[in-house]
Amino acid sequence: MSPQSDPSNPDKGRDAKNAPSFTFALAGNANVGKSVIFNQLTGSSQIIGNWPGKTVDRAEGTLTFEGHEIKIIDLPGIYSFSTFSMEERVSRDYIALEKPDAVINMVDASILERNLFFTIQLIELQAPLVLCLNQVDVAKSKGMIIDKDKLQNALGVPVVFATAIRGEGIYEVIQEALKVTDRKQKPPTIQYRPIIEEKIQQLQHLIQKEALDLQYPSRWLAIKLLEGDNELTQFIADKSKTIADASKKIAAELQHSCQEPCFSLIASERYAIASQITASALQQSEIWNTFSDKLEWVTTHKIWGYVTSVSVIVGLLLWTFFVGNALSSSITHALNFIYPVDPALSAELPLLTILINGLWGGFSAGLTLIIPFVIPFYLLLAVIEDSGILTRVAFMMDSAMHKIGLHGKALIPIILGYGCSVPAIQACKIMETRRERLLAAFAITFAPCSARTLILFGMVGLFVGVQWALLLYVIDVAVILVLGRVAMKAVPGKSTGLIMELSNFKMPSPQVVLKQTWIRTKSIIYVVFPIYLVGSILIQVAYALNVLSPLSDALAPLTVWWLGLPAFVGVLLILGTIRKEFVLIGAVAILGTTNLLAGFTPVQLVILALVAMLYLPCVSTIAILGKEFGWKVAATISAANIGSALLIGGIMFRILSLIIPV
Amino acid sequence: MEQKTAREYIQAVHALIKTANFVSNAKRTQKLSLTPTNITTSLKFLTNIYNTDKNKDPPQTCKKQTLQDKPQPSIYNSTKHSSICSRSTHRPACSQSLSNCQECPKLPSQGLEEIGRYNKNLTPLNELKDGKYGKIRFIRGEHNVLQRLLDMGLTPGTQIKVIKIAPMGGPVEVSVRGSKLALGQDIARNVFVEAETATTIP
Ligand SMILES: Nc1nc2c(ncn2[C@@H]2O[C@H](COP(=O)(O)OP(=O)(O)OP(=O)(O)O)[C@@H](O)[C@H]2O)c(=O)[nH]1
Repeated sequence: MSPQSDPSNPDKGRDAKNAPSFTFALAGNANVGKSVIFNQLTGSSQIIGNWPGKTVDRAEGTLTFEGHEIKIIDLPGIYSFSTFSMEERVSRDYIALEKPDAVINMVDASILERNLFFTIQLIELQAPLVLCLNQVDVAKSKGMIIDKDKLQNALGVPVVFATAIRGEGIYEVIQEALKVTDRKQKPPTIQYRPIIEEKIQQLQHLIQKEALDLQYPSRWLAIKLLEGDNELTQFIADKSKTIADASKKIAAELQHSCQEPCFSLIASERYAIASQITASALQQSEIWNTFSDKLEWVTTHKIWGYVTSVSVIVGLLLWTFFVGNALSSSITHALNFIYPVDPALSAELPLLTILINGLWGGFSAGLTLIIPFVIPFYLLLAVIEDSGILTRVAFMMDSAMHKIGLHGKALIPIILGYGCSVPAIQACKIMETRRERLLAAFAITFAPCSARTLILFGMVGLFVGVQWALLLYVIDVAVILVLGRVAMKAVPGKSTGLIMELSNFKMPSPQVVLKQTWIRTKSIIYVVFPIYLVGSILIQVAYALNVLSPLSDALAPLTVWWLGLPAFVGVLLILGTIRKEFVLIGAVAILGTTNLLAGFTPVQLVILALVAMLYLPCVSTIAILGKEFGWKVAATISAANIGSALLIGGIMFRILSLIIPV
Repeated sequence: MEQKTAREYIQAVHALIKTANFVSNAKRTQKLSLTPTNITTSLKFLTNIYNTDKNKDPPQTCKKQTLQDKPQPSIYNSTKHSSICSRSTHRPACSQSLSNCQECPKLPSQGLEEIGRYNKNLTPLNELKDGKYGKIRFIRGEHNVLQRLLDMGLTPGTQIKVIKIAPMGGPVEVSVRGSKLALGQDIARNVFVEAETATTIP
């Protein structure tokens, strides 16, 4: 039973059972800790990181608290309820129309004023509100002391202090939220200054007089109409011409008497209130040059800033290679000790041998070539994400990103794309316009995701030399820049400017980092590993039965003549569209050994890795592209990928053959 | 572009140059012409017309130099001005008198809006030095951008501190209402502040 199905009667649950069920929503600015508290409450594994905009769709989980079944909704982080972004609309409609039993407003205590701007809007929306003042530890370290009672009185809303990351205050928040579910106590009305207040009330009375069946609170609606909110103006125009005309007229009067556009007047007014409340409740003592200030200085310095930005990007790769390499070789030793992979198929019992070889081949390939690289990679990525450096890299790289029609913020999804393109393409939602989301997604399809990194390091790094792997990265970056520029010219529209909150630096929290790494590694082990095993067996069987040769033969002109690769590579490339790792796993399965030099020359390994890196996003990426941007876009991007892979692969082959005789 | 129309444009700009009384700022315009932005499109447009036409008998006083030296606000104010004329309400943001209305160039409407009030003593945010404070007085931009800036706390009258300006035309890091924001150059140069000498803590 869900209380939200009948918003008019939130008490309904009460009669049905002793312990009714409730729905609580977590709302607040970006990067305040909503997902941290959500994960703690529900045991889910929402992405946590120190950059704004991680939660893009609302997430749901359940919690049992003192016998109550509570559904928790994690809303995307927003700064306001104007409807320019999807996230703002999702959150607003959820709170206004689906009427959760309580809204927990997560607030970053160290940026109280800005957060209260949003709180004021929640109060205007008449949400049954609890204010959760999170990151109290950070506020303290910045020398801020907040008076809870004063804040509570000024806002008329219960306030709870919390340090979500340590689990402090979470219990109290839920307790307080349970208390407001009866909606007995309406949040207070926040008065604007007389000249504006008068106009609001004038419009509000009109709205009330018309007695339309509107889901929104009348005062809030009046304010939104004065602000000129597009969607609500349209909504009202459809319902009542009287109100629509009146609101236009009143807004014009207000604008005329204050000599300022209404939307600016109202925002200023809300901020004036927020500022006044903050001033009364917050005591700031001076603290100079904290550790994080120094870090900030370095990361945005005109030389060191670039050095850090580049080291973040390159360091992540180098770390992955060196740690991965060390792990990989020790695991290989251990495995060889147990059961050396035997390339020769014995004549008797071929089927069994194929099965065992396939299974063991897939297993050992996964264990020696994939896992050792994935874990250190995700570990460092989580550290980077949680440290807050990503927004600084975005800051430093903004002007460079303008060259491909994007702004600095786009670098965040692109760096996440080092992990996996799918969540990275979803993270493109932090960009403002569809055009920018599209350009960023396009760049991501070329960015070296972890699967590609594996191919690069597992094929080229291990068997040819790490400098070649890095060279391929450089080529990759060059491809992104060149094609990004082409895409920028091809996609109509103009770029928007960067407006981004810079997150505070902090020591990455070990729990968050380990958990994040585990969540991502887990998906590899539980979901992807079995696919490796099955895939590896299938490849071996198919190869043994010779059903793949027609395919390989059909692709031979491309693979053999143009790219100079062995014919069986055609099969690998096709399999690789399912998951890119299959190029590597498949090669191991077909060769029957993890030593790839048994079947390839070094040049061939470089070319294969290059082609595999560029040629086509995997199916999941194509699927997400199709979902977010439509199939035409997905097809175009795929075609661009294949085209560039073949072109660059062929040219590289010819150049390399000249330098290193095959 | 037909030559006659191009010349009309140039003459219009020329007329503007004579009427406007803004201090020209070489540094700003230099940046302007380097970085193409939405907001400078109109200026570019004019420059381009001029460049393509400059061999074909340009009006003598209208040198390319003059055009580039034109400080940005005058062009904008005149854009605003022309739209104001048609609505026949006169907001103080436009510094020109109504009698000059017919001299406004008919630039394509760029959907720009303004909040606060402009006066010639204001400095764009990207020209403040690192560590300096200012009070926001006037912002110009597309509606969405303005709304986002307001939501982030950049309301007229707010004190803002420039923490750092990234090199090579990069963004401006500001501190406003206790939070830190990065604003791209295109946005920062349209946020005008009254520079403050005293470094009081916000
Ligand atoms: N020091 C400290 N850090 C915290 C606390 N709560 C959250 N954080 C950190 O704040 C950052 C953001 O937390 P998230 O939960 O991902 O933020 P969010 O509100 O879900 O953000 P979006 O999904 O982007 O809207 C993470 O780096 C957390 O580790 C806290 O109480 N103290």
